[in-house]
Amino acid sequence: MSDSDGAGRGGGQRGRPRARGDDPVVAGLRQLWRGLEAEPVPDDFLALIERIESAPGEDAPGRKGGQA
Amino acid sequence: MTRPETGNAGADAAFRRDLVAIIPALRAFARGLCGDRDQADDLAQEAIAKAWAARTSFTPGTNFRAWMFRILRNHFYSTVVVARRFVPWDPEIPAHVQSSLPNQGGERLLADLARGLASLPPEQREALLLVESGMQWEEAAQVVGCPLGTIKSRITRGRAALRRYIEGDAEGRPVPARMTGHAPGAGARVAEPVEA
Repeated sequence: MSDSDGAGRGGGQRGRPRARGDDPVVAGLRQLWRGLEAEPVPDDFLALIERIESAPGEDAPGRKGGQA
Repeated sequence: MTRPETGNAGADAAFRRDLVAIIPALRAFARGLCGDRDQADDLAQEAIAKAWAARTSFTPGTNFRAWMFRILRNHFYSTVVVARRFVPWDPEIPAHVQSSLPNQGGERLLADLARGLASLPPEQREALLLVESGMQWEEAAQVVGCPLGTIKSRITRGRAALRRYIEGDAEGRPVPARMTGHAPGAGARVAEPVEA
């Protein structure tokens, strides 16, 4: 593989993984990733972040009872 | 309007904002690594908790995404895989992304890709995931802890295997990628650079 095997998402940054525009594998993988990333964040995550936010200056309360 | 943040409080607030912003990508990476959605979310939350506990070791201005992904990846391979908490990948992933599919052909392609991805050796799967997360090759190598050439090799091999899987054999049947039965870096912090 070379650094210039197609158009990447980032507009041609050096070292950026580039994808051939007509490569169904690359396009499909990208779509898979975007689909996963677009899923709504579960409340558990927001609750964890809220616990972090409510305990400034302390280590994070672990999920479900204290693991950090 | 919040008051200006100074000192550690300001750094913590910035760190929390970065954590919140990276949750979707972190969940996607965890899902790609371990498969099951609920287990992936457990993994992502554990990584967030570990990151918060280690926040003072993060240097602001450096690559937060790579730092977080490395925490999650190392946690996955050093703890989770060893404990056999997770199974490889989730063949149902296409069902979760159907809303973004352009057509039936695209839906089938994504389903095939997800199955093909599940059949890849873990080191190729994670390399492809990191690249698709938007990372540069150098960043992906940083996360995995291997030479740049190794990442390039894994991506090349992974994509080629997926193409073979999608195209199928002479009779159109999927050609599964090699199954190694091991995880890269299992029990270790850094994967062995074996493919450069």
